[in-house]
Amino acid sequence: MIGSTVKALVRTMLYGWVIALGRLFKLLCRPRTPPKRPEHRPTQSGCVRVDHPALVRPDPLIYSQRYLMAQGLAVTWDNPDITLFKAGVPVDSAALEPATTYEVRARIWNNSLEAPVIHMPVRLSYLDFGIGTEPIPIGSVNIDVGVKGSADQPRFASLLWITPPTPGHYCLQVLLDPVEDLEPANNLGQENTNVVAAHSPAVFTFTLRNDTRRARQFRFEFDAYQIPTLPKCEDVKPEGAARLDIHRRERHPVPAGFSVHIAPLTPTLDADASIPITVTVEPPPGFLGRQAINVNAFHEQGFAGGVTLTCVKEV
Amino acid sequence: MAFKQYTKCIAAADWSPNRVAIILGYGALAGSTALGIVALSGRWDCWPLVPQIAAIAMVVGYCENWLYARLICLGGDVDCIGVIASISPPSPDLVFSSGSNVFDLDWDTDYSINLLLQNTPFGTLQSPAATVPPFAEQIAPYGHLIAPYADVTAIGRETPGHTAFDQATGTTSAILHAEFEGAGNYNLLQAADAALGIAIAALFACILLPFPASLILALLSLLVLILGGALANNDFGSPSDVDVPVLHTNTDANGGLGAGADVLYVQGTWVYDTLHEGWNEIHPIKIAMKVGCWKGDWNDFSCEDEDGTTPPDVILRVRKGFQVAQAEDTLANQKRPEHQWHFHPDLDGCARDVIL
Repeated sequence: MIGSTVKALVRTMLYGWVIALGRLFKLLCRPRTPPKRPEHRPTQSGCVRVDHPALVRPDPLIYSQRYLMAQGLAVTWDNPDITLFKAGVPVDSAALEPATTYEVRARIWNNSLEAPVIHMPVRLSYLDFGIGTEPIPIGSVNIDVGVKGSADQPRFASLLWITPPTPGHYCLQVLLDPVEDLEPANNLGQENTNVVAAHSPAVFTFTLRNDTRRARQFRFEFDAYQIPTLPKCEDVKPEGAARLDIHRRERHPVPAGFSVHIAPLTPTLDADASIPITVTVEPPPGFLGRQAINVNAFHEQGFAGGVTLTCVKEV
Repeated sequence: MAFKQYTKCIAAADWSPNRVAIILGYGALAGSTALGIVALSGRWDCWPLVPQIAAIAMVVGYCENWLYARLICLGGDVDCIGVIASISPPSPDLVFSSGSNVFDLDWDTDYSINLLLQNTPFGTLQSPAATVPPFAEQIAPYGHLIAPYADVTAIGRETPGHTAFDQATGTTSAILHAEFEGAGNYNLLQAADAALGIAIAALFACILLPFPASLILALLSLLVLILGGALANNDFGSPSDVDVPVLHTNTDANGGLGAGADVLYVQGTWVYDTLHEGWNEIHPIKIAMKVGCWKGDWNDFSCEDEDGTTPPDVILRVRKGFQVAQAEDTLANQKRPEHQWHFHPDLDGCARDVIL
């Protein structure tokens, strides 16, 4: 003990003080945010903020239209993370048969580099096709998702769904419900699509419901955004925010020649009220193929939801 | 953000109970060395630097003992699951404490949490406080973490254990203490080391250089110590640009069972802290993550409202999840361009060619 004390002190007096001076200088120069004053006393209120790197949180996510819209990005309601299968074969969510069993498979990601997701409920619901309609639970399953870059990510949550006996179009909603989450806003993904053959014009109908507690006036915006093919990593030069420019709504207008009409144009709905909305899409002469049109609804408080309508014209 | 460990634990056989003597020894050694230099040089007018050097050396001794000689290693890194019984943030005040100690020079910036270990009901104590079963230290699977350790008992230290009072249920329970380590005492050590070196330089300047070189260095030494000490006392974990996580204790009595607290997975070094009455700790916590919500029953600490059960293998899955997270291939993959996305891999990711 005496030997180690002498050694420690001699080391400090000879050169340790220089190293310490360097560390102190780095500490002084470290950018400092205004210190969050911790509560003085052991907790009496039931909650305490703990700012320490050892306390980690995962960030499970799914393609979440609301979250992406809040970042100023265009969205599609043909969710890349929600797929339906019938007897193991992928099917179009806009062409479901009544009273039929489908496997709904949700692909779940984790944006955390350090914290895995453990035993997280993934909840599946369906809604009548439209905006703001009431979700009806189907079921839930618990999954684990590894950290970003691990072999355990992404993971898939599968649930069986028997479609209602009434023919119609339905929207699927996948909600992640983790115990802890770095960003809870990216946990809700929806698959909300309809496909109509353009018998000049293509006519779509969906239900708009006011799911807020006050009367709201709604307006609609249209775009033709579809998720572009990912660039190759070696071709990607811009960093950070520049990579998202290609997903901005203003870069994906409805193509020239297509005319889109909606009725009613700016409906006002009381709380919990709903009305049918009719969208008419007239493709240009000579058009052949498929064109997706996203219809997004807004009210005074913000984004209400949307649907993706695909207009098809074949020979 | 990378986790930093500031303390080291020692074997029980290497621990010395003579803490005050060791700290005084630092002062005596440095002071006598300085006095010897003054005597050899004949410059007795430099003697005021001797007590300054001795005092700063004692601060070095205090910090080194606190960081590197007070925690006894028990069994390496361990992990456990427990519900939070209480949380103690660090005392932020340099001089005035909100507690009964008005003059409280405390550089301990660790966040402390007290965990009621899995399968232990609120209100369970450990022996000798508990005289009839159940004894907290005997409750599987983690009760052994708070039980007396043979090596510690062999050096004459007792382990009566630590308790925490839960406000909601009004119960006192035997708990496992765990600490998120702050850099307070480590930064104070850096300040003291630097100040000591400058004070020694002041002594040589007094002998070899004209006035006021030594006075300037002596004052600089004191300034470094005071400024560094003040900075160290305000280090409460690392600043973060995301919202700070919140930990919860019980908010509902729930008929004495408690409800509302967070259930945590905690991994860290298992030690015995000799500076307290006698208890085991996890110090430092290396990983902690919320894994559930306390509803009054160890059979179900899921955060879902519906009645259910928590799978018994949850700690195995959490442990494996963190092992994979820290594996070399995972860390290497995370640097690859296809994993630099932030919003969604289909949006701001990129496609990597797969070579078959």
